[in-house]
Amino acid sequence: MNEAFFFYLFSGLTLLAALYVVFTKNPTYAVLSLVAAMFSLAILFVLLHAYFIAVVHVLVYAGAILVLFLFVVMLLGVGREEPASKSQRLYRIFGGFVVVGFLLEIGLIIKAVSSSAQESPTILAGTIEAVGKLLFTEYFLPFEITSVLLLVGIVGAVVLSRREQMPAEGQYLPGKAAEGGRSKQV
Amino acid sequence: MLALGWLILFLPLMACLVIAGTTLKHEKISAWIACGALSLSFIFSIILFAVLAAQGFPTLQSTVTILPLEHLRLEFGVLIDRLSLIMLLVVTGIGSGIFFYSMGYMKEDKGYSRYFASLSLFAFSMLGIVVSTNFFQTFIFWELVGVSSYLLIGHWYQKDEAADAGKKAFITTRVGDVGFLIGILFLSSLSATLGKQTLDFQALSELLGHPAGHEFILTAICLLVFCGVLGKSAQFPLHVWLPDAMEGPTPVSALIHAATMVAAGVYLLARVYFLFILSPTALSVIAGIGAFTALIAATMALVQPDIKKILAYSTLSQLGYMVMAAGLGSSSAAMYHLVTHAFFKALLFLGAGSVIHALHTQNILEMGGLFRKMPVTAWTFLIGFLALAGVYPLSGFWSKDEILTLAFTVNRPLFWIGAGTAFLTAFYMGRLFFTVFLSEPKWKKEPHESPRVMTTPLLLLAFFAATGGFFGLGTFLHSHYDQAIAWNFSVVAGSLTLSLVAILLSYLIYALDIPLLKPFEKPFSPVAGLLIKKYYMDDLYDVLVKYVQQNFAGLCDLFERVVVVKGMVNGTAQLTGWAGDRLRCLQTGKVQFYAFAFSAGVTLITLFWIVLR
Amino acid sequence: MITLNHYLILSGCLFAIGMYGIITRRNALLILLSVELLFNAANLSFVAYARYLGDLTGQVFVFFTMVVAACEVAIGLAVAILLFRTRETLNTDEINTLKW
Repeated sequence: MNEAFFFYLFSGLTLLAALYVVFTKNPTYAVLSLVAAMFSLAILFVLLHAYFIAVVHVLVYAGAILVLFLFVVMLLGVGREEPASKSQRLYRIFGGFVVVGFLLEIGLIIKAVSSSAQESPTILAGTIEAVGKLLFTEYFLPFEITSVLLLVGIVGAVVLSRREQMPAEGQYLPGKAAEGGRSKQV
Repeated sequence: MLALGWLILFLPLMACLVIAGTTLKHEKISAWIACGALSLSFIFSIILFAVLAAQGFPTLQSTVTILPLEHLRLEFGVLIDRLSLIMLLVVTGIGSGIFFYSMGYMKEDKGYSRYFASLSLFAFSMLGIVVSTNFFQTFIFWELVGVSSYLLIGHWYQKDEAADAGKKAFITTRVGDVGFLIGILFLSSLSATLGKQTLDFQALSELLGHPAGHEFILTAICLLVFCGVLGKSAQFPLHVWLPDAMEGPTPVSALIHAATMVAAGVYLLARVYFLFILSPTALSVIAGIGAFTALIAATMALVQPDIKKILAYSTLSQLGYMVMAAGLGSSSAAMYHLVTHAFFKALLFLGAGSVIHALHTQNILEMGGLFRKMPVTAWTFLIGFLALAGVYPLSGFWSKDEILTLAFTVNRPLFWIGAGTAFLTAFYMGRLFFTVFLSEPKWKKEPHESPRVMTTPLLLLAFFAATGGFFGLGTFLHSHYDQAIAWNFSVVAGSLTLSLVAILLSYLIYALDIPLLKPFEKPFSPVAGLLIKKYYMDDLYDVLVKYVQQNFAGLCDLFERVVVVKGMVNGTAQLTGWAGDRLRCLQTGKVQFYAFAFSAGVTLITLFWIVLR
Repeated sequence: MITLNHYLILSGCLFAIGMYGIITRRNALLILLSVELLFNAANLSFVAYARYLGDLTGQVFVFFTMVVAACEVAIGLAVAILLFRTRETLNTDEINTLKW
């Protein structure tokens, strides 16, 4: 009974937050609303006995990724979106059709593949110990490889967002920037 | 012992490769390498013969698989039995003689080394056919022989006639070879239905030893294989290339287009006689074609003024004899005539070469009175002439009369054709001999006897041409497939009389200039015209090529240009270009559109998947 | 009783919302946000399956998904910054250099 209550409460919250993310005009609100969605998702994870994942989820998404988003939104000073043009309205209508069709299909698939064996949950618990054991034994190699992926992500972000030395006229010339830029880098 | 067989086969090839690879510049060395290699082959052949004679001529075979297919192993090997031994001796023996003769005849020729390399290649190819163990190998060497023949006919390729003759020979024989190849393929699948897919001669002869049914397909196979013989042995209607092939050097004509290569067809008949014996229909067709070729070739020889062409038509006619003998049921009679013919026809060609060498003309009407000037040539030529005419006791008498006797007992109409051909043969050869050697001299520059290197082979060949009938070759080669031939005195006496009468007539007309033919010239001039035009066969082929084949080729060309190139090749390019031009509008460059297309695509594919389930 | 299907349907709804966001939003940053929604829809079904099939691999997978998401966000935001720097806009309607 409790489980059902919490499930419906937080799944409703998640969906609402997600809808707000998609429909709000203000980017700042969208990011904040996504934070709320992440929190309620984390609670759903707890309901699914995935404690470790729930915690990491809050830490990584709400704590890091979305803060980064917020930071960028503030940094770039992105304002409200312009009013929708005619093509924009078309996208909304046809996008709506596609999405509804997609949802229907999901329903059909779920109906087709569901079996009674999946009705009741197992007593499995995603504690740090259990997940950690799996991560450091069976999935050790992929785990290590993710660190390389993160490193690549960091390097990529640094390279991309580094400000190149601009020529005096304020024109961006890749060739000149490449030769002169390195030494005068601040 | 079989190692010797391999050695005999590959010595000329090595000579060819060495000459082509290293000694092209050194003409003397090239000639000696070629002659040495073939002489060694000849000596080895003799040794092989002697050793196997002591063992009673067992059939030996050694093969190497060169291409193992799933059901069929394509092999390459050496088969030594009575048939191939005799042929080895003939090819290497006459070949060596002609190689040495060439050293004199081809002196001061520009392509001296090239000539000897080609000759060696020819010797290798011919020996390959001789020792071949299966149809596949035979076909390969069959083509190789065609190539070397092409190279040698076109040796003086600066002359248009020579180059054209080479092409003509090659293409004409190819026509027959297509049939040959199809026949081989048929045979291979027939052997598969009989239990074991094979092309090996011995395996096939066992397999076909007791055939049940398959008469129709066997007849078809025999006739298709015979197509190869038609081309290579220049039988009607593919005989047109051989007279033109006389554009090549005379020793080449002697070796290839008289003694050995053109006999390869007859050799093949003898080699696979187990196959032909199964189809009486095919045999009678073969006999008919042989007899017909013999007759028409002899008539064409009557009017030719070119000494080599007369000999070429004579070769055609004699090949017709051999094919007829095989068709009448005795491959050994055919082979017997092949061997004796090889001797006396090589002799005649070399004699003709000697005359041409001395006078630098091939027209017999510009010769005459050479008997005193070139005694060795004249005497040996006389022996060759009498052997060809079938005068007792020279070799041609024995072999030809064996064929005539066979025809007399088996097929009377063909016997009359054969006898008529024998008469004509003696007559046109008499015309040739008496005009060249005994009539009034018509040359301007004093001719001299040829050098020793050329006359020695003449003498050797003359010896064999004279005595070839006394070695018992006919019985030596007799196989259990062959019809037994009982000597019939009246036939022999009749044909001998015919020959002698013909020789006498020609002597009166051409040596003593008695105008016996005068009254016939008028009424028979259309016939003579027909003969000079070679029955219009060449013109017929010209027309066929010009109107039928060219138009067909034009049609194909049109199809190629319009449908294939314009329609398919350029059309594909245009279609692709057009489609790309239209489709590139889809690339709006807008992320939103891409996202929408992607989502719609996923949804549609999922829908498709659901519906399919 | 909450079954697996409840979670799967919730996950599907989240995914559909994210998809709609990607299609309709014109701000590059908000498109990235919608992508995060997609990631989390997938995460949710992973965890749900882990629970109902009794296999922790699903949760381990979520871990990896998060790593990938983190990298994606880092790179994506860097690109957004670069874009804004050169074009002075994040409106995807105006960014169409990849056009034919």
